[in-house]
Order: sequence, then C-alpha cells, then structure tokens
Amino acid sequence: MKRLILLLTLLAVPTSLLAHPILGFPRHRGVEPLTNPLYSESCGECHFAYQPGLLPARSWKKLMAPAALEDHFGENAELDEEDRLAILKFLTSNAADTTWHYKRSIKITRSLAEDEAPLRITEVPYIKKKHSHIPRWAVQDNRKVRSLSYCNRCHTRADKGAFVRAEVDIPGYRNWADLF
Amino acid sequence: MKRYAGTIAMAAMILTMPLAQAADNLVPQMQAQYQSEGAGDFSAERGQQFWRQKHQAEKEPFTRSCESCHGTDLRQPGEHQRTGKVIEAMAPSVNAERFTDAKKIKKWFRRNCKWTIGRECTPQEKGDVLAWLNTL
Amino acid sequence: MRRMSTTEHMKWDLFIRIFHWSLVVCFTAAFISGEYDIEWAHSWLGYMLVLLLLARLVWGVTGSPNARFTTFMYSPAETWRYFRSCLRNQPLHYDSHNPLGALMVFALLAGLLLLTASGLLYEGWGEYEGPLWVLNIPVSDWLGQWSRSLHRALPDGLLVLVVLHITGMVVATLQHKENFARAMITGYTKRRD
Ligand code: HEC
Ligand code: HEC
Ligand code: HEC
Repeated sequence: MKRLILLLTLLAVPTSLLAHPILGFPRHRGVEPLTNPLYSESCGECHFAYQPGLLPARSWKKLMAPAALEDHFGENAELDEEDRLAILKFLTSNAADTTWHYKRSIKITRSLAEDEAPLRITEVPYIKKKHSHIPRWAVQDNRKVRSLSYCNRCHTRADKGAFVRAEVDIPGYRNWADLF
Repeated sequence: MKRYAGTIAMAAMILTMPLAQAADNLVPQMQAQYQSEGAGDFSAERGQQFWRQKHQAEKEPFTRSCESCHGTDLRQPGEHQRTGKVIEAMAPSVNAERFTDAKKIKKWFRRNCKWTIGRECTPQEKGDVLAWLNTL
Repeated sequence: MRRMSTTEHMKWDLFIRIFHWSLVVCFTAAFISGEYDIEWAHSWLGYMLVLLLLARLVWGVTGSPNARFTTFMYSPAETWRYFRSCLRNQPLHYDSHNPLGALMVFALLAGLLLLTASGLLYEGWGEYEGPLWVLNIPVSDWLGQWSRSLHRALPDGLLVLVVLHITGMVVATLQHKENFARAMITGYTKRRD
C-alpha cells in the first residue's frame, strides 16, 4: 500500500507539470474560438471573423486604429467609436501573445520578433511557411478561394478555431495532401 | 402542480422570447428620421434608379454600383465583390432580418456609399433606397 | 547450457539486437503517428530514432567485430561475386552481414539519418518547436522547404526498403539454410567451420 502511494505521488508530479499552464504542453491544438457576438458581427461581414489568437495584440492595435479601419486593405470598415473600442479591447485581451493554452497562437507568437507587428495573418512567418508550397492556381487563381486570407474556404473548421491538416479541403483540389 | 408553476412560466417565457423579439422593420422609423434631417417625400422609383446607377471608380477599370456586391436579384444572396463572401438576400420578404437594426443600417450606408459613390449618401437618397428595398 | 553449446556461436551482440527491434518499433510508431498527425508522439519518437542512430554509429566503430562497419564494407567486385553465387543458389558464407545485406543496412541507416535530420530541420524551421528551435539555430527558408519535401517523401521510400529487407532476409534464410530471424532475437546462430 505504501509503495502504491509512493508510486502515485511519483506519477502525479509529472502529470501536474504537464497540465501546468506555463511549463506544460498547450492544452488545445487550435486557436481560441470566438465568444464575442459584437466582434463576430462587426468583423465577419466581408470575410470570416478571424480569431484574436491569430495575431499579437500589437498588430490588432494597428489594424483597429480609426484611420486604418477607413482604409482596411482597400475597403471601408469604419466603426462607431464605442464599438471600435469594445472590439479593440476584445482583440487585444485575447490576442495570440496572451495565451499559453492554444498551440497555434503560441507558434504565431514565437515566429514573430518582438517589434514585428504584421497587419496580415498571412504575413506571419509561421502561417506563411505553412502555405508556401501550395501552388497559385489552388489559391489566388482559384475562384472558390481567391486569397490565402480566407482561411475558412480551405480549413473546414476554421470557425471553431481549428487549423489542422486533417481538416483541410481546398475547393477543386481534393488531393492537396500529395503536396511535398 | 403549484411546484411546477414557476418552471412552466419560465419555460413559456423562454419559448415565446424569440416571438417577442422578432424585430420590427425599421424602415418607416428611419425614413422619419431622414425627413427630420431635411429629406422630402420618398420615392421607390428614385431609389431603384440610385441603386442601379453605375459609378466610375477612381483607379479601377470597372464601375461600381450597389449591385456590385448585392447582385441584380435582391431576393437572391449576393457576393462581396472583393472577398467573395456570400451576402444574404436584401429583400425583407426573403430575409426577415433586413432593416431591423438601426445601427447596422447606419453603419452600412456609411461604408457602402463611400465605397460605391465616393461620399456619404444624403438622407433623401437613403430614404429612397429603403423605400424601394422595402417593396421587395 | 545452450549458450555453451559448441554448435552455436554469438552472431549479433545484445546492443545490435536491442537496437534492431527498437528501430522497428520506433519507425513503425513514428510512421503511424505521422500519418495520423499525432504531433507530440511523432516528435518524441523522432528524437528516440535520433538517439538510436547515433548510438549505432558509435557502436559501428567501437562494438563487437560483427557489428563494426569495417567488417561489412565490401568492394564492388566482392559484392558482384556474392550476387552471382546467390544466382547459382550456392551463396558464399559471411559471419557478419553478407555484401547484399550490408548494402541494405547502409541504405537503411542513410535513409533514416536523412529522415530524422530533415524532421529536426523542419520542426525548427516550420513548427517553432524542438531542439533546433530551443537552441535558437537558424534554418534558411530554402533548407526548411527542402526538409519538408524530403521528410514527406522519404518514409514511403524507406517502406519500400523495409519490404526489400524482409524479402532479402527470407530468401537468404532459404538459401543459406540459416535462421536469420532467430539470430536477431537470441543472438546465436549455427556454427560453421
Ligand atoms: C468592408 C468589408 C470588411 C470589413 C467590415 C472587415 N474587413 Fe477585414 N478585410 C477585408 C478585405 C477586403 C481584406 C483583404 C483580403 C485580401 O487581401 O484578399 C481584409 C483583410 C483583413 C485581415 C488580414 C487578412 C490576411 O490577409 O491575413 C485582417 C486581420 C482583417 N481583415 C481583420 C478585420 C477586422 C478585425 C475587422 C473588424 C473591425 C474587419 N477585418 C472587417 C474586408 C473587410
Ligand atoms: C488554399 C487553401 C488554404 C487557405 C485559404 C488557408 N489554408 Fe491553412 N493550410 C492549407 C493547407 C493545404 C495546409 C496543410 C499544408 C501542409 O502541411 O502541406 C494548411 C495548414 C495550415 C496550418 C498548419 C496546420 C497543421 O496541421 O500543421 C495552419 C495553422 C493554417 N493552415 C492556418 C491558416 C490560416 C490562419 C489561414 C487564413 C489566414 C489559412 N490557413 C488559410 C490550406 C489553406
Ligand atoms: C463592397 C460590397 C458592397 C457594396 C458595393 C454595397 N454593399 Fe451594402 N452591404 C454589404 C455588406 C457586406 C453588407 C452587410 C452584410 C449583411 O448584412 O449580410 C451590406 C449591408 C447593407 C445594408 C444593411 C442591410 C441591413 O440588414 O440592415 C444596406 C442598407 C446596404 N448594404 C445598402 C447598400 C447600398 C445603398 C449600396 C450602394 C450605394 C450598397 N449597399 C453597396 C456590401 C456592399
């Protein structure tokens, strides 16, 4: 009995370390799913609403500046001040560099130097590298995709924050897994 | 029975909540507001014309109109010209959620007018467009 | 005791046997975890493969005579002679690997070294994890992309080699009338003088 207790204690130490928020493995594979209806509505009309965990807070701050919203990649995404501040708060407090639990967010943060603040998720080195071998005709020249920016057209569960290979389905390119 | 009365009342309230909330069409209200901002009587015909009017964009070879994204058949979903994201049908007869949120109407008039014609729409133009869209 | 038997002698030492079967287990598990994207298991299995391979390289220089690389490095002429002896169904005998088996051993080792190296490089470059990332070793984009391609192409190639390896083992067992599979388990084989 004593030995059993000893064994269990010995096992408990590494297990609790694994579950530890900082020392342990990230508990989730994706990025944190969306929970904020104001955000989903205000930023989900022209493209799928990107999870805050896809960019660091410093990028969201730049993107959400009033002038930046007026010329948002050539579109007008103006918001009234109250909504803008609420959304900015939501984005920065759930940004990629605020989490230890979501693996994709951690990798996005790791791939950026501390003073880098890309305006695009598709310019984050981790995301760029992950897609560098996909041919143009499957993305930009694919009418059903148009641009790498529209994650949800290939990542079938992007709206749940899941970005894993097993759930990718590029429209018109079923056999993408043959890519080397 | 009495024991359950509270629960039943709660359930009834929850069940009828969506009904109570089924939001109203705000077009008359918006139009009243536009009139207080200086607009005159509204005409669905002028609204339709405005909607279909093509505008030469500054840099691009193609023209822009409200149809660029909302499509020509407003009972059908449209497609955002740049991103290709589906935009639900504009006709309130098909999409009951249209014109039920004043903030949303305001926000999108602002953005879409600037994008399409390069300036904000006047209260007259907005009232005309809504008058037309509401007949669909 | 059988160990003392005069009709049997030690062919593969304990290290070689443990190495061989650990390699089988780790490679199979890494293949499967890679196929099903079980990332954490895949990286740890990969690290174990690296350690196994490094240990084998050391043992190939310092180990028992049959395990040393120099013992089973043959000239092309000798390999050709052995091949013809097999075709005549009178294979020449070797205490360690025969020349064709040796070719296979070197091919498998080289393939596995490339596979694990490319895995480590890709992990550091594209996944921001693993020893290279922890040690902050930069990997160029060119090398990273190549590692990804290599790491995805090699497993299938190695699978073909494994099938050939097993086929060769079965053919040799029949031709030499020597139980090679048992030798890799117990270490002992029939003595020939
Ligand atoms: C009026 C339409 C519209 C609205 C509203 C809008 N966006 Fe965008 N957004 C776009 C377009 C167009 C692009 C560029 C896509 C491309 O380059 O293909 C874009 C790109 C982006 C990108 C970069 C994607 C990439 O390439 O990695 C981010 C991040 C982004 N938007 C965030 C937001 C946020 C946050 C909001 C809410 C405040 C928002 N967007 C609202 C139209 C819009
Ligand atoms: C053209 C379709 C397409 C689009 C659009 C796309 N992806 Fe991907 N994505 C892929 C494919 C294919 C892979 C797998 C690549 C590989 O490993 O060979 C992938 C892999 C990934 C991975 C790594 C998954 C893993 O299991 O390692 C992440 C993270 C990811 N994408 C995020 C994004 C984000 C964020 C966006 C939007 C900004 C996006 N993707 C847009 C096709 C796409
Ligand atoms: C660049 C693409 C685009 C163009 C051009 C465009 N719209 Fe829109 N419009 C949208 C999007 C996206 C929405 C919001 C999506 C949704 O509600 O489903 C929207 C929503 C609206 C709404 C709000 C509807 C509601 O439910 O309250 C109105 C009103 C509107 N648009 C009017 C116009 C008018 C008038 C024009 C022409 C001046 C125009 N739009 C041109 C993209 C566009």
